[in-house]
Amino acid sequence: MTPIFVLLAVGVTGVASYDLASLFSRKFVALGITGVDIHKLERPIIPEMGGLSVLLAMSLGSIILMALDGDRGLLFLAGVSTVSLTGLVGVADDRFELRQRDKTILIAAASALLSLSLVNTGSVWFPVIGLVPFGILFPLLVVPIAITTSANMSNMLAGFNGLEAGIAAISVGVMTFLSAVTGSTDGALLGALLLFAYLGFLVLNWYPAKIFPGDTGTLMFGAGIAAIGLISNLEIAAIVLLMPAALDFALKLMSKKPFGQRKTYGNTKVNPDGTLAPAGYPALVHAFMRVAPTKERTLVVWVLIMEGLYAILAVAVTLVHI
Amino acid sequence: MSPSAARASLIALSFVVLLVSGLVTTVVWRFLAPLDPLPRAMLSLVMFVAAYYAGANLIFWKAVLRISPSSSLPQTN
Repeated sequence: MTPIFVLLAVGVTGVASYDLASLFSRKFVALGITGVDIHKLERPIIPEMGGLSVLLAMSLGSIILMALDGDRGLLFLAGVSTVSLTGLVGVADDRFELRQRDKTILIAAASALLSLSLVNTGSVWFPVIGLVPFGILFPLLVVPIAITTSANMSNMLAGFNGLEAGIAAISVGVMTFLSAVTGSTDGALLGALLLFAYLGFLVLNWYPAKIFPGDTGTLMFGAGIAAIGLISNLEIAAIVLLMPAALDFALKLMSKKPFGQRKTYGNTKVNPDGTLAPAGYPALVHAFMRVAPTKERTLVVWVLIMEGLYAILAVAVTLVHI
Repeated sequence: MSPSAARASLIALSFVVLLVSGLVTTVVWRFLAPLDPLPRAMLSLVMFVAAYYAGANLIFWKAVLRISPSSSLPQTN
């Protein structure tokens, strides 16, 4: 691994992500790829599917890295392919609104190369339990379930300016750091590319957002966290980082239609003073809105603080283990 | 309770749910000692997921309803 090539790849990824997001924010309005920012009083029309810039930028960075750095092998390619294919599933979901079942099957299929490349990895370490010998179940079940669960959870804790890209930056950043510390070069490089791609996008996605990530952007970082965790044997860190999304998922399971609450209960409303009035079903963001009057930016900052604290826990658990 | 304290308490509660789920998993793991490692671990992990779901419902959301100043609370169905 040559540091100058890595710096070049991640630098190009970050700049490309920002530039592409900027381009898409202009072009997608003309193409009608837009959504309403329902958490603003004026309800502006905002370009959707901005996660495409993250997908393209990360792909560009990985091509540069593979072309210039001869050390990258199957594991790195498998990680990139899993994240990229999950991003493509997100594009299809943004354009055609896939059914939940189809989305799950397609994301599981996207992890096929990662399963193949991890066929000799049979165990996962958990606190208290220790090393669990999954054997052949690891590539057959653990990898696809981890990728689909993580992608779908990250897709559900979403919908506010800067929230998805902010969580992605924190969690992928921590996974990159831990991969580097534990000596997993493939995991660290995949993480670095994804991190800079999301940072470039976050500049335009932060409040007030000029572009939304869409399912393309939200599904991809969940798959990315799981893929890095599996590649670097940092599964427990990935699980800890996903706990806010897991809590949101658990809360949403309490309602009648866990994957269709917005159709049943409606959306979050905006009060005349700009504070948010939650929709009538349990969710993590609704909990923050209920306990105190909360505007969108404050909500996002507090969820990111929460993610940051879980990131500290993920680092602590991993460093104690190694 | 100030808004910041209320929001911070939510974050603290989420860690309580995680801690309680971890404790339940530990108890189950010890209880299942006669089993082989894989089924023992799988059952313990399933118990963790179940305990976390129950904790989210019975600890976290109940506390949200208690802390919330709003009278129009959502139905949990």
